[in-house]
Amino acid sequence: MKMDIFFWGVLASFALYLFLGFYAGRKVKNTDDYYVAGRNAPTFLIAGTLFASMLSTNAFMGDTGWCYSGNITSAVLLNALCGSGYVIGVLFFSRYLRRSCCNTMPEYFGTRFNSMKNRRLSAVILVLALTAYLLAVMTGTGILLQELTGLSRGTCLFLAWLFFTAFTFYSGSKGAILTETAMFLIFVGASLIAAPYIFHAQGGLGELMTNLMNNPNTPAGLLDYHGSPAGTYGEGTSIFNTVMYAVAFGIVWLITVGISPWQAGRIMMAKNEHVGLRSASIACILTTVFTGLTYLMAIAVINLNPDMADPQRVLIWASYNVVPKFVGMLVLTGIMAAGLSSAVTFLSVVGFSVTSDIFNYKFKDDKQKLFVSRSVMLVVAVVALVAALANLGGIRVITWFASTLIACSWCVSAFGSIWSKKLTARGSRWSMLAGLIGFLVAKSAAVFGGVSLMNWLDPFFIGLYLSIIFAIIGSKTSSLTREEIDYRVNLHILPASEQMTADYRVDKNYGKILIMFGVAVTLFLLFGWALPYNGLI
Amino acid sequence: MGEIIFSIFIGGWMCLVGVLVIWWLSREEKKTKRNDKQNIMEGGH
Repeated sequence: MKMDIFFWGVLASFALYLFLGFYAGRKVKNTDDYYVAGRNAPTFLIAGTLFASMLSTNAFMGDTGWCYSGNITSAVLLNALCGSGYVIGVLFFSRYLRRSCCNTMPEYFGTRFNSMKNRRLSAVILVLALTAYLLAVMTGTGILLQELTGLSRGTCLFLAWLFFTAFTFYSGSKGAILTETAMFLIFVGASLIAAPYIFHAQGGLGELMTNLMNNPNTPAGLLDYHGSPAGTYGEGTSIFNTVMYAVAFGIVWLITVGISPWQAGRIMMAKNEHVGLRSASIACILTTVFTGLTYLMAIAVINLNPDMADPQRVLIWASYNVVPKFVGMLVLTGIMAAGLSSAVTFLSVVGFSVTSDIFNYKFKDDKQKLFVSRSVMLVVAVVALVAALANLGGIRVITWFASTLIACSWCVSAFGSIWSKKLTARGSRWSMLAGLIGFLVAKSAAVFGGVSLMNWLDPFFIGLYLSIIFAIIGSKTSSLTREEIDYRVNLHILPASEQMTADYRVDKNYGKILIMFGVAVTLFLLFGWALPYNGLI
Repeated sequence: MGEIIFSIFIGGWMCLVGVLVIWWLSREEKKTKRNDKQNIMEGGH
């Protein structure tokens, strides 16, 4: 066991999360507190949890490794589109979800379409997809903890599991959003502190472009607008397809952050719709700007340590070898936090759905429901631990269920439930099933059958197209009930509490802030990269 | 040239999102004020 500064730093952060979780847990009085944090969370906490839930070890390791290998422009383009999904999701879906006053998204689908079948189906899809995602994140976190502490894989998995399960099971959503915001502060703060050291080590941020242009080890295509074709569909991919890869997956993630339960579901916890929109605007800016910073850190390492055998370890290498030990400890703690925060979210969302949506037991009172919710959460957590110890999370096919599957299956039902006057319960149900099956069959064909499915024919989009087709067929072969019509009409009634002029003024300021950041990002890219790279300044 | 277009697109996309927020909320606020005026007028009769 390595008991160095990195070990103690991670331990201290775990202690902090436990403290915050138990502090929040003492305030949990009923299931509303447990499931949706009393629907009273302020902007800062919602923004923190939105961003922390999206970023996991994959962002700090997989994505930075992708940038290091030559695809920083692809990553920036993908994230710019992804980030806008937060705002689009709130404007066109999750604010209406909040009006439903449901505790989970499957509950929303059930009440919106007046159908227990819809509720159960969406819950089953959620549980399968997010348990797989939880496994993948736990596995990634366990690997990182192993690296930091030198402890065995099993011990690391157990320790990570113990910490995030303890406060999630006890405090539910109240604890989840508080600890996630703490984690968000740690990984953002750590990156902001570490970045100048990494840039300085290779001559300063101002020299980054020049150094990369003069570096014979710079990956081909790194500084071109399209990035390295090899990092998308492999060597020989056309420039057009290379760019379309980033656009297509940017849209995939736009939809995912817009409507998936671990993102849109967070808006249900917001104090009001205005807080939801403001938080989404902050998350949008962070997704473009903060991830851009970590990507710049990754490519700066090319000038310090080119040709790394495992590019995914680029920030880990920098933490050990470039920045002061204390700063390196903060960065690694931050990467750990990114993984744990996602695990917290997935565990809580899965636990809530199993209790409320799959079993639909009639509880005696709220106290009993709270007790059962906590017990089920613990059972789900134990199942996830056993599966992770059996290394199921490392199996590639498991990760197919993760993240984007739920978005392609639910997209049509989510937006359609708000905006379509024709989508029926059967249409919604068939669209979810078609999306799920279409995605799985297409993905199997691509991976096992060697079928080339690129860009707009990616399995996500095949699932989405089928989802649209079967939503239409299902709706045409059934009729709307009075309950469904009335429910949709009521969703469009803006609550009186949301109509204050002062709130609108503040929201519009966030719109102006988005515009200002947009201008700043363009100027930074133009003067820092595009113009000098093309010899124009 | 592609790099210049790319730079404008990334920032431009964020600006568009900001414009969408302002425009959509202004529309909603106008509708709300119109409904309030109507309610007051009807309440006056």
